[in-house]
Amino acid sequence: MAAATDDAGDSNEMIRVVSSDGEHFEMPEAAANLSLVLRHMIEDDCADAAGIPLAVVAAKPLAKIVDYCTKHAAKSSGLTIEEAEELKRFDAEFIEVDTDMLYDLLVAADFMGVEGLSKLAVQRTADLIKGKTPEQNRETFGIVNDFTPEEEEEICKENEWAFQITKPPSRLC
Amino acid sequence: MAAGGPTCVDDISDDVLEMVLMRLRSAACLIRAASVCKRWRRVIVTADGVFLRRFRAHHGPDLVGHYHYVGASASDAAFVHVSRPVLVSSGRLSLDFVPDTDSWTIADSRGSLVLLGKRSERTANVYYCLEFIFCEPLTRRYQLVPVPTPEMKRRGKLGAFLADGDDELGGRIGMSSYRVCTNKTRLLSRIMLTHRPIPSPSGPSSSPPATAADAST
Repeated sequence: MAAATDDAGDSNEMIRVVSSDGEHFEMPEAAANLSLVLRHMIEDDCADAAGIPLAVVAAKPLAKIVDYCTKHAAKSSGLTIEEAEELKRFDAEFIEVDTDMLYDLLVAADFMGVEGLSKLAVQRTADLIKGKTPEQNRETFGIVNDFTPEEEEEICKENEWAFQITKPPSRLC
Repeated sequence: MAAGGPTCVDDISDDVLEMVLMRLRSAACLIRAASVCKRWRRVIVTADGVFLRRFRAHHGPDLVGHYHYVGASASDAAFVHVSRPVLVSSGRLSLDFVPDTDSWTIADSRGSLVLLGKRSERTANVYYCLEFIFCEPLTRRYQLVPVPTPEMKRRGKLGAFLADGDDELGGRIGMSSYRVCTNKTRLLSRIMLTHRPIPSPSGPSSSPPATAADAST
């Protein structure tokens, strides 16, 4: 018998945001409040019909972020076990993205101050790193090996044990 | 990502990269990540050791296992793994690289280091050892602890144990950051004499340890 009108009024308002490439998005105020940056803008009365411009967030990741915030805001408090499980499943599916989108989300969630999403993307990135050799990690993340052969040899020699854990990789580094 | 081109790994700030690397579970994962590129290494290995200290505070040490020996010498020691999955292959934990393995007995171990004492012919009891060597099986390095000072020799029973280094390497123990403590009363809190490595700005292993006398409570 919870009163659904408790935090009525403002929270039903839709907040508009504009991506760096000019696309408009809308989300409930409660969803926008999950972003520290948007919350401050709303508090400072900067949210108007023209929309809050997000200069460093492109449309593609912004669409995802709006999706994330809307879902999480709708189920923010007093979750039943089933709802919590469902949210967990949503998160797991949500973050099944390629590395390009992952970088976008890492940067955008950090910029917008969406803590939950930031943690989710950070954990996903860490999970991708785990259990990989340095070379596999460079491939996964598109990183150029900028160590000189001498430096690389020294690092390998010093920490040889760490490269021999499960099965010895064909190349140590 | 604002101006031209998709976001790439270099667009991620050091702060965010640090959060990612902090979430790796094991030291082995972290070492391999630190070998990916200079930037990742720079975030992990800072001059002040802040990242490593925080990493250790978050995760605690990985317990690999124990040395178990029923014979009298270090060469009889078998390694019992407790981690699942096995973190380090058994061959990496053998003490066979220590010269004259038979004449040493295990006095203590801490972190990645093992302290060996030379058995006294009189009692074969480690507490009478007056000669010590410490080693790091993972990197197969060892170093003699210099012959105890006359003051140490005058003491009757000498217990010896390893303690964390002062503040290098994030305050943890390692080949360049350790203390070998001996005490007369065998009360661990009463550290009487301490061996420390000479702090060297770059090289970890080669400098001989200095001897310092601490009389603390």
